[in-house]
Amino acid sequence: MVGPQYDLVGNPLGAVRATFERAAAAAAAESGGRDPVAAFRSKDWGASEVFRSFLFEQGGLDKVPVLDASNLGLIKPNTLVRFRGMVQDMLGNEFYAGAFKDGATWRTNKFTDFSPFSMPHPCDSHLWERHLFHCVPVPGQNSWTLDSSPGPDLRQMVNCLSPEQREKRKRDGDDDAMDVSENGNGESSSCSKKPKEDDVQIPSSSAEMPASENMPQMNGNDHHIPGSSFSCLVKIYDMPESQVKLNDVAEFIGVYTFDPELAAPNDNSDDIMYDLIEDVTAQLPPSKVPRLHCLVWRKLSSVDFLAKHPAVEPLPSLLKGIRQSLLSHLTLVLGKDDLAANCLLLHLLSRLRTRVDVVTVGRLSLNFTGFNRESVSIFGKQLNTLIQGLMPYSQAIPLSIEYLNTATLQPRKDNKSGRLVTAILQLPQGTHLTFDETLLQSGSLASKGVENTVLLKNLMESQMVEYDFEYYKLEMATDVQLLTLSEGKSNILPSDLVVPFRPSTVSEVNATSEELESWRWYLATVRSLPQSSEPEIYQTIQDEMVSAMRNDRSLGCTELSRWLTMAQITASSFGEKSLSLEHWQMVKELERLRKERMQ
Amino acid sequence: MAASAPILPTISINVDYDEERQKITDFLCFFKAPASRLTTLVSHGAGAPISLEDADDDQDELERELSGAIDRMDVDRSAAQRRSRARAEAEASSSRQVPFYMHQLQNIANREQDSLVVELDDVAAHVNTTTGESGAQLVGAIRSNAKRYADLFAECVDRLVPEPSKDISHKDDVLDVIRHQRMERNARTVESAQDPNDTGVAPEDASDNVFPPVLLRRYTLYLKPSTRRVAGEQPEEPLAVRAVRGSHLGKLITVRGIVTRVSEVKPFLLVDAYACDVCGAEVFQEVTSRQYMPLTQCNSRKCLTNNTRGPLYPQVRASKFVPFQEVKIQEMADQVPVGHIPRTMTIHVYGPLTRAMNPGDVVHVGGIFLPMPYSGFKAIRAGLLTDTYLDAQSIHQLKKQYTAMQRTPEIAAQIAELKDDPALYQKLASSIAPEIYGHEDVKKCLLLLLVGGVSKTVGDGMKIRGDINVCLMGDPGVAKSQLLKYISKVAPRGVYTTGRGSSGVGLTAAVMRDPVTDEMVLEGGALVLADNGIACIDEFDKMEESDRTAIHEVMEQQTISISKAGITTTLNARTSILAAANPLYGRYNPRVSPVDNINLPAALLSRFDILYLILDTPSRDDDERLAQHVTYVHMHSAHPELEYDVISPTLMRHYIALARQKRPVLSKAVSDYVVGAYAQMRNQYKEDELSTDSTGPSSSGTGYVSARTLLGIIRLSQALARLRFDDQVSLPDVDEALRLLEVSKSSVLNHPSLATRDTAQDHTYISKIYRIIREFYNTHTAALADDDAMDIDHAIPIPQLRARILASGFVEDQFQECLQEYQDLGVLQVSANRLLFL
Repeated sequence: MVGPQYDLVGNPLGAVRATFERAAAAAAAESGGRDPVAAFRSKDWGASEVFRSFLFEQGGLDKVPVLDASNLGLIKPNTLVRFRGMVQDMLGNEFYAGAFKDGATWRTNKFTDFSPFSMPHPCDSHLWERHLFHCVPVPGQNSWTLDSSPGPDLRQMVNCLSPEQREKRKRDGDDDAMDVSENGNGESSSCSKKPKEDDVQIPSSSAEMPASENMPQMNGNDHHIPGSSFSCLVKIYDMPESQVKLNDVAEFIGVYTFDPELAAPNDNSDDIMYDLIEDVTAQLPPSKVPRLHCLVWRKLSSVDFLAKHPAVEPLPSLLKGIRQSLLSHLTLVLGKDDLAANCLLLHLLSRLRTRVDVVTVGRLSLNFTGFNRESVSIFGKQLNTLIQGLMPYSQAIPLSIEYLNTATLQPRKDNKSGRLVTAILQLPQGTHLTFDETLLQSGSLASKGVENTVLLKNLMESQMVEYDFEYYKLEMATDVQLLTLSEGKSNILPSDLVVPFRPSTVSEVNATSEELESWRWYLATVRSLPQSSEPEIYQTIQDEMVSAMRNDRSLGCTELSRWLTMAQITASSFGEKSLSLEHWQMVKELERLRKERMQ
Repeated sequence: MAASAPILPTISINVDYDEERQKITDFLCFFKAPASRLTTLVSHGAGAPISLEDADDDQDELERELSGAIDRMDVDRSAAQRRSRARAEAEASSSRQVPFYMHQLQNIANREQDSLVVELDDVAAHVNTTTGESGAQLVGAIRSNAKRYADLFAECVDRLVPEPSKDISHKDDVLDVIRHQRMERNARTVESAQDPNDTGVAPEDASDNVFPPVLLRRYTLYLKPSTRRVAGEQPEEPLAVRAVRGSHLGKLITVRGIVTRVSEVKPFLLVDAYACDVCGAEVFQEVTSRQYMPLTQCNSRKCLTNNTRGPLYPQVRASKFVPFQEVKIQEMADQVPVGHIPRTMTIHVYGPLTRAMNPGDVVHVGGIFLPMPYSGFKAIRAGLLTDTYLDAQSIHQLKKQYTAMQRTPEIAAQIAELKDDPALYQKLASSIAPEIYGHEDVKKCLLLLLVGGVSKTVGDGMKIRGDINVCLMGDPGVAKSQLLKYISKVAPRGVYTTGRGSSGVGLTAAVMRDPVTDEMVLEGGALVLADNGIACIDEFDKMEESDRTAIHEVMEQQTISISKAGITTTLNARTSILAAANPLYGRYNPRVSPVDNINLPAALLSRFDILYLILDTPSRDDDERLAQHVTYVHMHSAHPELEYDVISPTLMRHYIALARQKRPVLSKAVSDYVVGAYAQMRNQYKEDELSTDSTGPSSSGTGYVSARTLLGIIRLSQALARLRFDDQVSLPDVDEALRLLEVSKSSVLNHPSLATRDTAQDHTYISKIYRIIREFYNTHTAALADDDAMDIDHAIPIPQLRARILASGFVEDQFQECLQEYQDLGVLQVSANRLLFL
């Protein structure tokens, strides 16, 4: 379908409308006078196809600017933008007049907030639905991921804007400033600001009602998203609801809309009696939270964050080489502790493969013991830097009594505002968390501290985080890699693998960016390698397990499960698709060395 | 109230509304129902469609079983019976049919009723008196265009409302005064108009035309969605919030959810009234949208003709308001797909239905799904966007466990199939925690615990508990906790807690001071929350002392008495208790008696119907199975296939819920059998007690047979009968119950690890002496056999034996006692210094 070539980046809506009109005309001819548009309800008529081919087949993706906090004011409304973020909250669906009949022609309002054509009243119209998602930059996202797919430089684009538009932008900027000051002044200013015309409309609940009580506005600092002021309201069309899930990381490409009139501070005085209705979107003023009408979207995995890597076949020989270099680097970072480096490598490569009822397969949380405050400041820091360089999202959490007692780990639904209040443990799949337990001292946990530890323990043991919905709790599955640094074996965070850390030297090591890049590629590739299973080898392993159990009565299900996980990861780390006896022997050797150390 | 929004897709439907009106009028005039329904209506007061449990009797029983909130005190059964008897009598006397709705209209006219509930079930059941048409078609029309039909109904009702049959002048309000005055004034103007000299003013319109009909309505009309299955149509299942789509706009739907927020109740203006400063006329303005423009100029004929433009002043007292409340509901956890978060929905409640919902309630709300008409500033957006809300028409409170089992046809079919399965008992039992291998008898006990026995209330108020209590004892790491967790998941109301872990409130209940109202409130602990369910208490042995005393009461009386901070009350805790305890010294010590291993007082132990000891005995088989399991899970990312079909927890829950509705009884023969078995157990116990004296390990506590044991047998056999959906307990049930008791007892007493110890099983001198005798006898007979003396009997000379015994350090008395004992048992025979084995 190649129609008149619109500037898909500069005027995406033009293309949308063109395709719609064409499709509507075709449908009208076909259906013979019956309502031609009805068929387009929650269905694409070919618009996103046009964009898809433009973006991914004709390399248009690079021409689309990336929307972020810095360029929010610079991007022209109704142009195509990209946004990468995590689905933080799902705001339900929205009904909008999707198509209406203007005279003899049908027009569509899809992918936009307001119609460029005025709607005749009354008219034939169709009510369609779209889904609203509140998206935020991925928590703990490491800086290297941002460079992976830069958009065109916006500063240059700004110069192309007409002076009038620039003026308008500027004014909007002023509006923003006013918003902020208004918040500072309290509510009186917002009441006085909007001049009351003579045709004053009083709320239908009569004069008995007390004078207007505005809902507290929360534009300035959105308390729902601590530490980040930027978020995006993504509106997704024509999608089976189950496709996007909470905490998914995705790239949304769509139309950025901004209408200063709608962005004007909402005078809530007409809403006093509907005090609960308080539209959630009203808390997310367009001047702060841009609207994105999504045309095309795709989920992102860690592979997508890699810089354009030549599509290399992950051959075992190649992977082996990178493995060796990564391992030696890890050994250096860990002060020449070979065993710890091996375990760390396995830990970094682990991922939740499946979840069978309550059993999680594939996770390998690691606990380095033998740290104290000094060694944490040396090795812990190096380790963190390295992990930040390797993993797309990572966070380091200093676990102290005070932290446990005060931090909000549990995401919670605020029924007053109707939004999900994010918390530390609202994390995308594949996040790496490092807990530094050396800060822990004896003290008493308050009730919040107890809740937090239970939450962390659940996360460790079953990779589940309970979200608090006030009247009930809902468990959300996560896939988080957990590393704990502690003095002794951590009891708060019972890890799968406990390794006493024995560094021998301290050395400053730095990796080159090429090295880092290849390691990232290695980690992402190995983690996504499929695993096949050969029954024979498993039979051998099974027999060995039985004999091991006869020797050591303390062995249980968890240990056996861990051994197998380690063996499988070891096999993948060499690029092998199936487990061989050699890898099993390596794991056994690791276990032996580890046991020796434990004593 | 609110007009439909302009953006609603407009369709011109070819409907003759006059015809519809006729149908409605016909229905209202001629629908007949038993008079008893009217009396229930009156007893409900306003008659607003807030249905509580009492409304539907058939569900009563099940729901009562599943009931239980903290605030629920003992149900006064006798009172309930009295009430139902009274109701039955009333029904008998008033089974005659009365015009159901006309009767209510009369009440409305008399201002005794302020709401009119039109039940769609009634509409469907009504047959048009003139056309003979069934009402089903009308119901369909109402459902899909509910708002319009609600208006139509109201119009018809307005026309049908009769004159009050009583003097209602004492209930006059401002409006009546105004109408009255206007009537008088009109009469005066008419009089003066007769004077030809007076060109004067034309008479004010005397009719009620100036009064908007809404103003004169003294009722709120609700449409109650049908609950019955209409032939040929899908029954209206309550929807989840996310299932409500754009296509539901304007329709009557039912939504299920939990109430998260309610607003204050506020007056909602329906008609604004003004008085003219110049002519004194009252002007009424009907308000149909969220915002309106107040009138400022009088439009009465007088002012118009005089061109005086009299200013209008609002008259609040003459305006009409309805109570209005806004409520938010949120999806329940079971309605949310994995990886999503619950959706919310706004509900508008008008009139007498306000205040019917509180935060935390689980409700079915029937209502009309409507778009929110925007006005004013938001109208800019209104062209494109719309908010939606549900205009509440009926509220059904599900106070009880919300999963109260909506049996789908598939489940019903599965249950029917399962019921006839001969291996049902086996199958259900092995489906409990299928990932835990073996322990079949333990699982059987747990299954019976889930099903439970029959609770009885004896005439004088004494209650006999039907819940089965089970205690699992055992080494750490034998999956006790997993069993407990599974049970708490499967049980309709299961609470999992640990003896020590439960904080603040503890296991029972605590009196707390409400931070907001500063009132003392009761907060239920795990046991109260598990009322009518199962409380799974892990680490039972590590319980707080205070909780342990409370648990005595819970386990037999099934109540919790509280006397704290001025609150003295008894809370129900009709719960089965499934406890798990670790042995005193961490691992079970076979060298010490069970009582010493179990760190619980005998009084508490006797309250458990079944006490089961699970020990971790290493065996190659188990190890292999474990290794196999682990590797399988890693290879295939799934649990290994089991040799049997596992019954899903959902099916199991449904099956058990159905089974629990049965109340099997013991027939004469069976009860005789139970009595016999019990008597025998008592005897056996007495003998054991005598034979082992007090030094034996099997003494006191665990092995004790008391009346509680008898009740336990009955409970277990009732549970078994329930599993078969039988109303009669059969003999095999009793046998199985006895077997389980026996097995559980032997798990504690004769555990393999105990048996494998040397033969010195008991240390009493009698058995020691007996063993010596036995040995002596063996050697003696062997010697005789060598001598091949054919005719010599196998008797032993007593003097020789005595010498041997005394040499072993026993005294003559003990020897004699032993002989006596074994003679009584019929093992030995002593005759003239010779001892014979029989």
